[in-house]
Amino acid sequence: MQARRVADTTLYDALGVSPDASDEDIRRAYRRMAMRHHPDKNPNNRDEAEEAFKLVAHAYEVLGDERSRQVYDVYGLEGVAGERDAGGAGGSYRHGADPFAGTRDP
Amino acid sequence: MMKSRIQSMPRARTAHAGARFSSRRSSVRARAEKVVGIDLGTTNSAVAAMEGGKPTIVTNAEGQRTTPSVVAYSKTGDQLVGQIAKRQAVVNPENTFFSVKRFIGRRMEEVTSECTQVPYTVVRDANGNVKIQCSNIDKEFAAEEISAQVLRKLCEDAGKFLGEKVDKAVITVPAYFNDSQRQATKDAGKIAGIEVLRIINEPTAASLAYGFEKGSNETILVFDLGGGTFDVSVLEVGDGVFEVLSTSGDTHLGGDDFDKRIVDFLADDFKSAEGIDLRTDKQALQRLMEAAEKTKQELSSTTQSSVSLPFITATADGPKHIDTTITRQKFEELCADLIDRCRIPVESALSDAKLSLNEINEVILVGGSTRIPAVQALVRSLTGRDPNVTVNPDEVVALGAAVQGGVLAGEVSDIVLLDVTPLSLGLETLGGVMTKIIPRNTTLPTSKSEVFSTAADGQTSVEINVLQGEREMVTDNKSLGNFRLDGIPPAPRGVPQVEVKFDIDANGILSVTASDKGTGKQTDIKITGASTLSDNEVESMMKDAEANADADKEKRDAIDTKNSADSMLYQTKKQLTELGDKIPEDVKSKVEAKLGELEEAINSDNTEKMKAAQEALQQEVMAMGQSMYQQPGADAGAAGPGGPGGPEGPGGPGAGPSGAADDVIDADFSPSEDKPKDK
Repeated sequence: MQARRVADTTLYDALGVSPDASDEDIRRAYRRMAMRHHPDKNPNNRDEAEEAFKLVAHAYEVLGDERSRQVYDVYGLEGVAGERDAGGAGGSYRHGADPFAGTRDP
Repeated sequence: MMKSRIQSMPRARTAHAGARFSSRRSSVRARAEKVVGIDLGTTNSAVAAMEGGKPTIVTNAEGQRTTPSVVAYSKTGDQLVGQIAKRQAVVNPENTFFSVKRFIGRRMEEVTSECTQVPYTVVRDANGNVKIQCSNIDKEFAAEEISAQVLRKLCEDAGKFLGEKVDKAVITVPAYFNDSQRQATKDAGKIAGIEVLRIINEPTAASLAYGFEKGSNETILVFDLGGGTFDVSVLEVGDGVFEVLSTSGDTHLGGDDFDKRIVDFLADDFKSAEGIDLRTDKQALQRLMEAAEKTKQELSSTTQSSVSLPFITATADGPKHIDTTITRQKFEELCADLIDRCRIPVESALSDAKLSLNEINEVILVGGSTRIPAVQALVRSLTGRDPNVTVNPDEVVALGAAVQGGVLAGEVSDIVLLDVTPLSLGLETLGGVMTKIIPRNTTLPTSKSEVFSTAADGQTSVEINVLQGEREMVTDNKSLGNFRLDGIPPAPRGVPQVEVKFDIDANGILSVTASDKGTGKQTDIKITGASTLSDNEVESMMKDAEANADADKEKRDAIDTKNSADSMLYQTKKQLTELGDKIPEDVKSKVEAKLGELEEAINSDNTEKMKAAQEALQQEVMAMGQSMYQQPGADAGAAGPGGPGGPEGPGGPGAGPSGAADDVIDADFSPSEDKPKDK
């Protein structure tokens, strides 16, 4: 079977699944990866584990939701940017010209 | 008062952030160390530990499975904790502190209604935080200190039960506790000399205990109505992963509120009949509250309960009594709005989890208040199914905390808990609105960032006000800390790019970094909680508590010594009389001399002298035993010199002579080693 065409596979790769994966596949993969990478399970290298876990959690946050998965499939990481610093490269001003309020110029 | 510390942190945080924690983490991992789980409840607390691979409730020194979260100070300044404190509440209402969990980590303006519900005096300190007044020892306590005393007792008792020192714990808090309340709970642990490995949410803990051995895949809803707080959590459990999908709650709703309704009903009734408001009389109020709690509990199993409070007060006409009956129907009517309030968090938890009711496989009831039939009926009508009642609502939270303790200690390997942040985190932006960076119910650990810009032309610094809460306006949310990023090159507004990154680790510690993308300059803040206490305050309270614990030990030692001295005096005198002239005169006079010294020491109430005198007397008594043994024709028995020589410690010397006497004269006394009180 031909793999689905998607813009980017970073998040699928993070969970170790193909873009064809079913919702249930994604859920199971997330659990497996969470068990492997959660910092509580990696007392000797918590920080690496923490970074790995955050990526896994972010991947599931996007792929575990039907709508955001569709957006990601079409637009890639750019499409789901702002959700996490990995996607922050887009530098979106999510709130328009929404600058700091607490920023009274001293 | 803010514990947040501003420090510069390199952009690539991975390696550096690790080094800061590594020493503590490695100590956590030593498998041999016992980590207990503590459910520090509003009204009752419980402790559990992993025993033989299973979470097990640890009984307290009184043999009970739960301990009232009550601390009292008697007129003589003695500290009482647990059941003993609860029992004397009626006669000492102003110095008996219960339900302090309602005040922990709170500012005065957040608890105005709670303050009026307790008979002790709650005041506002210079920083606007809550302090509890204790008139008997003329001291003001932070709620953290009172909770610390409960924690100390729990851990000491657990240590005795488990036969090893307990100083590491996982403590539970209501899921809906904010950062400040969580930090305050951690501080309470610190004051008690306990290393708090993790703060976990009560409903999550309940699910851990529930799903620990089940191993099946299901979606569960935990309905946790405790003494002072109400939480709802929705979890998905499968493949050993406990994933919290959503959590919601009401931190001002619990069993105490139900009691309050009964109190008000009785007091209003009495007022209209007698014209006296019993709520202004602290002792009467305390009696009313106890009666109300009892009535509420009884109404869970019976349909009516009688309230009998003789001599509740007195007027010119004589003593007045309350003698009435409350039906379950009346109770439900009084509490109808409270019960109805439970509806909202259930609905919002479900909608946050994007689930409908028929996707929930199991509803678990936690907390004593879920025994109320009307509450169970509400759950049934809300969820359309019978709630699971296989878990003990008073114990399940502590059991789950013990499971998480086991996970952190490496004892439990096939389970991982994925908890969420219960409240959204964000920062203040133009117009006093809160912009959320990490939405509520995001799985931890997590990090998220967003790019912002300046509000005015030529602005060279931005101030970042870190907020927690769900409301739109800054003023309605909790401020966790502030920091400033300076040195932004002057530019038209909207041009500079400031990236703000929020990072929460598995321990729930939030760090916020702001960096100017133009210059690469950055500052950050580590929010260790918008704590109500400063590090120094915690430190000094810790020392205070330790000093008190030492003082308590000394007091106990003094009492033990006096008791054993008294008993030794009595036993030796008895022996002298019984043995009469069988004792050589010179030996007898020596014993009598030492007896006199001991008596004097007891009368002067000097612990050290008593100890010395006991030891001296012990020597002479042994000599006496020996002389008896050496007498020709004496029926020596086996224990002559051996008996008194054996025992040691405060109780030992007192017991020694009786042992010698028994064997020689009669057999009324059992050997000293068998008397548990001597140990």
